[in-house]
Amino acid sequence: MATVYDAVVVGSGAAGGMAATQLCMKGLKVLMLERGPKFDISTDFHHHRKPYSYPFRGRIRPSERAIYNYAANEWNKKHFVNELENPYTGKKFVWVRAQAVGGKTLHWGLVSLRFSPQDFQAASHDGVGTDWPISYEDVEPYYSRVEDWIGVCGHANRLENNPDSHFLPPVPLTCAESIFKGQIEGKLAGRHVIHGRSAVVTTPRFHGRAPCHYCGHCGRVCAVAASFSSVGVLLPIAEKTGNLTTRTNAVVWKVTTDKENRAKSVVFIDRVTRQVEEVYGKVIVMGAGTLDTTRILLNSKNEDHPDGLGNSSGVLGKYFCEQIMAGDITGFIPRLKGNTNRGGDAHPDGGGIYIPKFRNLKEKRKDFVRGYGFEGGGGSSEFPGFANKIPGFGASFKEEVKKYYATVISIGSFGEVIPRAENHVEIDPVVRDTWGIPVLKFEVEWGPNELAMARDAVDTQREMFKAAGIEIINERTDPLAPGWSIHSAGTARMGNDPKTSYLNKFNQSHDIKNLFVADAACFVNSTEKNPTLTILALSMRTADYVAEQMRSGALG
Amino acid sequence: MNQGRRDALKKLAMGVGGLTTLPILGQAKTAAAAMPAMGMPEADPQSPANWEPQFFDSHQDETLIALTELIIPATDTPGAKAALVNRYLDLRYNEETPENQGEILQALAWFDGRSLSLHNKPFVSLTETEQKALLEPLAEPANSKAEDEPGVKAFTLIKSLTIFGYYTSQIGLDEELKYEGDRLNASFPGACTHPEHQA
Repeated sequence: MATVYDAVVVGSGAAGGMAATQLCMKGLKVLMLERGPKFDISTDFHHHRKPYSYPFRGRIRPSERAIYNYAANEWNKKHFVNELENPYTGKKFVWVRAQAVGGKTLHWGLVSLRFSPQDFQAASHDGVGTDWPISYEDVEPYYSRVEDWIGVCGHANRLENNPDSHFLPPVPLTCAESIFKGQIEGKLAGRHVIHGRSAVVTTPRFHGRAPCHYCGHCGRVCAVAASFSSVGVLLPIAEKTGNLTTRTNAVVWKVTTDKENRAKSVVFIDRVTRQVEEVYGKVIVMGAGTLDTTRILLNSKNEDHPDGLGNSSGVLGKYFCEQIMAGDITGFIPRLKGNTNRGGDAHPDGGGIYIPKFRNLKEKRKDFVRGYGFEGGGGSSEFPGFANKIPGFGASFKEEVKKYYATVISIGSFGEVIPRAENHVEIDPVVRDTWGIPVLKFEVEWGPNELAMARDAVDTQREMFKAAGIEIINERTDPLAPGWSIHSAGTARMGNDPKTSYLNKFNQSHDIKNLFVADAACFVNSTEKNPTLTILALSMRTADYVAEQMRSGALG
Repeated sequence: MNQGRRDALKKLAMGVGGLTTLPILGQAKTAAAAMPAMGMPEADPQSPANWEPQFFDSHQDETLIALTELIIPATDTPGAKAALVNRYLDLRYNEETPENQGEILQALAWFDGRSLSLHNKPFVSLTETEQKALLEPLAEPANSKAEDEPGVKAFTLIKSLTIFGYYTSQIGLDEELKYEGDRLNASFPGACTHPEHQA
């Protein structure tokens, strides 16, 4: 007789790792499936190595460029999928995927922003799309619990559309950031430049974790988990309960159902041996990441679910949303020329500055709905890319690079992409991945709202730099390709109406009561804010609900 | 980073090098105690004494050395030649795409072509003054002469590669820029301490 776990959780990152840990803590026996191996973050990555420690200076070597996505480098590359083994088709889309216990939390940017009350009811504000079936008040207790657990640093700014978290002390601003903040807030009403809100420990003691040591390279995988990762912070707790079983190298193919219309098992292929295995759970929780979760559910179609598992609504794969990286801008702060600070980017990722959304808060623009925020940072950074913009050559050029090193400031926008039914993913009828599993086909592109918003973001980035007296040296005015933000959301959205949504307000399938989706596939809209904090909060909320329902017998 | 600090870090790293795993939970760790055996540079892969170029021929290599050193010369710190930027570029271009390989060979050839027409000898045989005079119009942002266009493109490419190779080298990053990340810091070393910068 095969083991039947209380829950099988697919994925081990922010969503899967949180759901698995929370369920283990509630006393459930959990099997967590991860397609990649498990790395020891303390020894398997080398985030303090200097670029010159690597023959290709930390960049992916030319002969491996086709294998890795744009976010990979020599420090972190081993936790990403091989692009050649994991193709996808359709319109131009950049899909960054991890393949390791901890998922994308091994390299993520740490930016941690609560969604606002208006974000959950955006449709009521501007008439576009659909409200979430839950409100800020429903999620607030989970934001608080997550923050008290993982540690989020920042400054309480009391901004209506950017609710404060339970903050650890913020990372101090650099000279360039301080000057920029003073200029913008002094000259442009309604614009705020706030401390970055980042999931990193900035106090000497926090749940026994090592504090940040300000090396500046969390994305190269923090060896001491001062910055949050599922594998460094959550899963050790899950393991201590004795309730967690982790199956690595499990490339999930599909979820099966039984005659009573219950999710029965998860079928996966061992990444290495290529053998097919089937595991059983009383509850199945999907947390593979928005697009992989949806791919698995679409690939799980069967006689009873001909359009994909639990897809009687037909919305599975639809209403994809994310953030458009409209433009970015870099410049020099002239008065800082000659500044000798040499540690400007040695802050945690997600430190630096953030410019919260300032469009469509109260007013309603005619050219686009929703809005965008800017992430930014100023001061010296490891590689002086700006040097290409300094004219000349020789000793004077070299001296100028040094003098400008700490004067650099740059910001880049993240704008809300409106969920539209036609922006969708489906299963490619022909192409398979290396394991033989059908792949995703992307039918996603920017719409008029995104493009109008992107134009405005480019205008305002220039407006702010001019107002602040910054000498502009580089400007990107074309949006990066869809997917680039790695903030994919939607495609299995929640809602009160089973005809127009895939999940109910507890992340439970309308059609199959023991099937849950804990990741950002459940999002109704993406907002302009980075998704991970909300993924963690909603995954925790999902797990609480699963545990409560199992205890009461409602899940059978 | 100065030698003393490097040695101190090395000792620190070796002191905990025997640990195979680090307890992350359960006990508070100072950052220093948690420093695993990592972060120390491996031997510079571009520095064996008997090095020979694999992709460039020896003339192209010498041209590259001359150009990169003209762009970032030795001053109070060593320049691109001492930082072995040419060796990094040889390693890289040895496996670049044919398109990129062709681009850099064309760029190098352009300097010889201009040098031959001006002085009847290759670029590396010019005096430093002649070499600088050849480069100067190419580095002039306002230069829009059609006959200089391929040269401006060639110079811009070599300059960009020199910037990358030099400022990611130990000499460029540690000695010239004195970058303070990539290591253990007790507090954020970039913090602004100037009241006049703060709003």
